[in-house]
Amino acid sequence: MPEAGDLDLQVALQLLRQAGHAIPAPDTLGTRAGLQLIIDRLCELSLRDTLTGLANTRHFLAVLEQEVDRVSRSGEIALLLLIDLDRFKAINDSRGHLAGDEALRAVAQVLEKNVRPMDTAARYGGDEFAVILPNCRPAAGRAIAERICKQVEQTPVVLGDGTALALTASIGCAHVSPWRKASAKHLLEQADQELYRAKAQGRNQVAMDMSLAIPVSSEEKRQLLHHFRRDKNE
Amino acid sequence: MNKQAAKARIVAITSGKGGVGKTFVAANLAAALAQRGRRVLVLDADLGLANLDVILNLYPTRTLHDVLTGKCGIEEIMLAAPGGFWVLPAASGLVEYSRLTSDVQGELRRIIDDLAGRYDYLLLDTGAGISDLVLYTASLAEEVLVIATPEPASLADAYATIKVLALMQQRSALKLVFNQASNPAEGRKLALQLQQVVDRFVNAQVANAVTLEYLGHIPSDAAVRDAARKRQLLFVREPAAPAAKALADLAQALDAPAGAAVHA
Repeated sequence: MPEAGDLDLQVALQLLRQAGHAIPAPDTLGTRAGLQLIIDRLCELSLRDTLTGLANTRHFLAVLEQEVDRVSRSGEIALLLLIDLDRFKAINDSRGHLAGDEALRAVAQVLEKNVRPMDTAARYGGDEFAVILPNCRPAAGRAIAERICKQVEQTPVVLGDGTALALTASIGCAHVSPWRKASAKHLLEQADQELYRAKAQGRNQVAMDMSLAIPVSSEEKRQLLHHFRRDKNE
Repeated sequence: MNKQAAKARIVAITSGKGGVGKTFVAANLAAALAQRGRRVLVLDADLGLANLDVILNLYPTRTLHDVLTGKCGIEEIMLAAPGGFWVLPAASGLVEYSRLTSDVQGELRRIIDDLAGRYDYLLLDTGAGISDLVLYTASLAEEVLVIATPEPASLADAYATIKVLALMQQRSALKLVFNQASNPAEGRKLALQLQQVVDRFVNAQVANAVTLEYLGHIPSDAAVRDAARKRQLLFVREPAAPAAKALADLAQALDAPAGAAVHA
């Protein structure tokens, strides 16, 4: 077992302190349990977005890959929401980057309030957010997206100087179709396309191609049409 | 008489596959309901590729497109159809309706709410497919009538439509009609087949099990094609034709439960 003195833990401990984590007591630092605790917290830290506390891009992509893989085998439907603040660049330009950061934090809070424990809310790039909704029907996902949209609009951000900043967000939804080979990349493209549509239609709204949501498997078709086949063979 | 205060039964007519007779059924069913004394309006919800006007030999100068773009009110586009019902015609060749915008959503809902107090039946004749416009139109109706023909592609598309409506709109009852059936047994057999696959694959996934209410079949009938070519309503042109009689039966099947409760 290494002694605490043999290891340089200073950078790790400083990172944890900065992130507001309690540091293990000095006498436990070199123990197996102490090291495990530090490793766990560093891992946790590496999965979070610093500004908002949501999952970061790395974590989000890992969860998305996992979910796509699970859905293609389980037959459940999962949804992906991409959320983009409307006219964020204008906020940054006119009100400053700190105001921009406040806006991002406000949206993150709305997301956290509206997702279920099994969902993953993430910051995905600059002013874009993503939510993965496992085992969620398209209609329910759309309702969640619309609630997020409304709450962002109804929750103005109060800035340091006391002024309020009105926000709106646009949301694109895509679904991971069961019984069909999908990829995280394809899903992101699909959600991005819907997001683009929400923006093009005037922002502050949800776009979702509901028509793709529920595939009919070849097994269903086989059972549905077997009379025709039999008639033909007779 | 408190009939004025009652709200219309709103029935969406849809099929998945095109060319199976949605518009034919909508128009003739409207005439059959009108003959039963009902006030009926058919709204052509195929906003970009309409042809209710074509089969009724109407030449509208203004359509739902003008209403949706704020150029006129619904009264100005409403036409009386032969057969004793009313029609809200739509336009053809408008690519813009291949995508459903929130403006169109709001307007359509407003139009239907507005009409519901004035008719006994609003029939919404949707386009083919399961685009978001078709699904949205269906969502505005309490009842959905799925039309299929006894062909594999039509049956598969009808099933997909039923599945989508069950899962996305949490519908537990859908009405079913087979058009161009060769005999009553064929329609019943296929309806049963559809219900079995629904039970196995759809009802396993939903809280409220979907029951298909089979309203009946419309037989293959040369009179249907003759009427279509003359752009006349079958129900008006040849009320004694087998297909026209079947439509009268369908109207009764649709109307009877509510009809029993109307008179006080």
